[in-house]
Amino acid sequence: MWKKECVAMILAGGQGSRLGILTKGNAKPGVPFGGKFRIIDFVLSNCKRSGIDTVGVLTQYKPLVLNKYLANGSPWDLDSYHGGLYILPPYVTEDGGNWYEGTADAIFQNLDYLEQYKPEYVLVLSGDHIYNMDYRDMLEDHKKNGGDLTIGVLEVPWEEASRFGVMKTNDQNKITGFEEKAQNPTSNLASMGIYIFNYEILKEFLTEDHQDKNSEHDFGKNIIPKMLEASRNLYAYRFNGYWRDVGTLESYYQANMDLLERIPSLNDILFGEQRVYSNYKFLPPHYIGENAKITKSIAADGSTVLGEISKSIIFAGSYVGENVKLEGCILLPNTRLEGEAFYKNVIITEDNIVINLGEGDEGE
Amino acid sequence: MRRFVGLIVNKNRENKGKAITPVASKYRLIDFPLSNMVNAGAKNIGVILDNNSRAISDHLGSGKDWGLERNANGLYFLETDHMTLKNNDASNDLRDLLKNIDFLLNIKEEYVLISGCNFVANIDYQKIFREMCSENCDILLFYKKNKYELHDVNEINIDENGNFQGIEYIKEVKIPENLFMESFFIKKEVLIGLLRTANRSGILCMNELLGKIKEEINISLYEYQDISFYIDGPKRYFEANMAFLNQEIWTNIFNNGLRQIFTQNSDYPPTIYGEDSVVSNSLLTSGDQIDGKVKNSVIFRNVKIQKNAVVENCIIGDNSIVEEGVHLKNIILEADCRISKDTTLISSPENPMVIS
Repeated sequence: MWKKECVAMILAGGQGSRLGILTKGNAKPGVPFGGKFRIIDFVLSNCKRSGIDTVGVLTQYKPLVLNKYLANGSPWDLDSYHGGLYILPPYVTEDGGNWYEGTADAIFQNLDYLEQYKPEYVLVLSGDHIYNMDYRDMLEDHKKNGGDLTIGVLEVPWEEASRFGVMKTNDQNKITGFEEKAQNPTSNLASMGIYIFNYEILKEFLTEDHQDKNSEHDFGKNIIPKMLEASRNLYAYRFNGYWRDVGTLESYYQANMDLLERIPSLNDILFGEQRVYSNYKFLPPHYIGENAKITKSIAADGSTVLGEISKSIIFAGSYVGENVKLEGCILLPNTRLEGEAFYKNVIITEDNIVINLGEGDEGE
Repeated sequence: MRRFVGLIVNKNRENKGKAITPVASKYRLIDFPLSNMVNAGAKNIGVILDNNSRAISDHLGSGKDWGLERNANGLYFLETDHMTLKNNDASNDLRDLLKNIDFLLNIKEEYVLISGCNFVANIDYQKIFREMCSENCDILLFYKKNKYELHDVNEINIDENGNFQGIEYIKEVKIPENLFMESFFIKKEVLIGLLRTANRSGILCMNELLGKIKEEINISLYEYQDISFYIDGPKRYFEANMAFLNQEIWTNIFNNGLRQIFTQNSDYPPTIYGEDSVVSNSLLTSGDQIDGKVKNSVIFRNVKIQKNAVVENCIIGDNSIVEEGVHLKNIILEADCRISKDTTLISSPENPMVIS
């Protein structure tokens, strides 16, 4: 067996119930994003650019769309000879089987998978974050510090800090304290859900946590506090670029709209040298009609725009009829809008279900 | 079931559409014969590389984007006979096929579909192939009615009963009535026989050989009546691209829901339109960033049209940048061009200016 220095494990099994109807038949990482992508493309593309060629994707909730989409990983160059992309659902053993009971449990149940590669480090990632990062820099940092665990962190506005797990650090970026979604947080360094563990230590803590009947088997709630308690070396790795957790309808909508603002740190993810790769089904170019108006918008291939759109994102294969006007809308793949209609600040699905964000006026 | 192998011949001819000539925002001419063959069920396709082999192999890669990356079968790159590079016209030289006779001897398919790359069409070869098999013809030549003045093409001569008389190479400008579409089905055994005769007799021109043996074999004709465009030079290239803006033509060829034209996939992001963009009646594709005005135009991948630029009746090639204040009208801009600030370039649709 070829030994791997670092294997990535992507957590993609959560239901994402706060995305409402978007995750009705699809796990959160499989939700379409930004015209032609799916949310998980961002983290997979990060793996590709970071030279990580062995990736396990932990699935549980409604995985069929995602399974089909990930296929053999070739769009992200993960169909490699010694590595690859592996979809890891829960399975039964001689002692029966269990669903993944938390993020840590999901990894615990797949220790045998990791054991095949005998990695030195395990990179644990979330499948539902939008950002562009070279994990190699973080790994270098982790090695230099001689840490047992390094956590990617981001400075967030204080008023938002209570939504995250936040770290207290000393001036060497060593983590001295951790609070998970505290009401009155004492730090605004938020965890990005990116962890690099020394594999042996990860094994040790996961095995111990598995025995703990009171544990929720969650990295943020259980593993990190236990490691801090055991005076392990935890470090924070600071990230400055664009990063969004798109776990709620509002944040999903906002992150899509951010694309239109062409914020440099986000625009570079798409239009810079680093591309975001996707398992994209081939479609013809898109057509903008004779009397169409299109401003500050994104249109993906395979779409047709005959009406008037502004501040909107038209996903692949969608159709905007001549008498349709859209403002601040997200039109998910293969949506057809015909007849006379005006929509503002809504998300519209393939089945023409209009998702209101509370602030929009619904059309007729 | 009978099967056919596809064979794409292309010659890097002066002033002609080349296999890798870009058309319709994201395609290349070779995509049409290749996709048509794939859609008709061809599992083996050979592409004879000309002296531009790097560009073609770069475009086709492993054949993955056409579903041709297979354990057995798939896409084969074949060598050209270097003599044909000197004899650079459309006169149906058999040297390229003769050079690859081993490829033909090794295949299991009973038929071969040979096609050039100068026609843009979405052809249902499968239906035609089935009919051909049931009629047991040896060769089926495709042609279309033509009303344009052309040269360096082949005309099919047909007698009053609709029977094949011969293929004639048209060197000087005229209006060939029945334009040979550089595409034909042929029984493999007949093709090998033809090539052996050519080798023995030294007659390396297919037109001449067919004339000699037309009584011995069963040669049929197929008039292609659906939409198709013959690409040879800037004028017809420009006209064809402009015609794709017509939604009926567009749907017929590119989006008919039955047979897709495939091309190399790219991982560019979807097109972004800026605050001040004004776009109408145009085709655009991934990677484009549009901040100016675009009208009646075909924009290829990864193009930037900056603020206050006006692009009208133009074809803008991959990766090109049209800077602020530029005005372009009836221009064909090839790939990787940069038109610097405030330049104005206007030509006529009859004689569009090509900028490379």
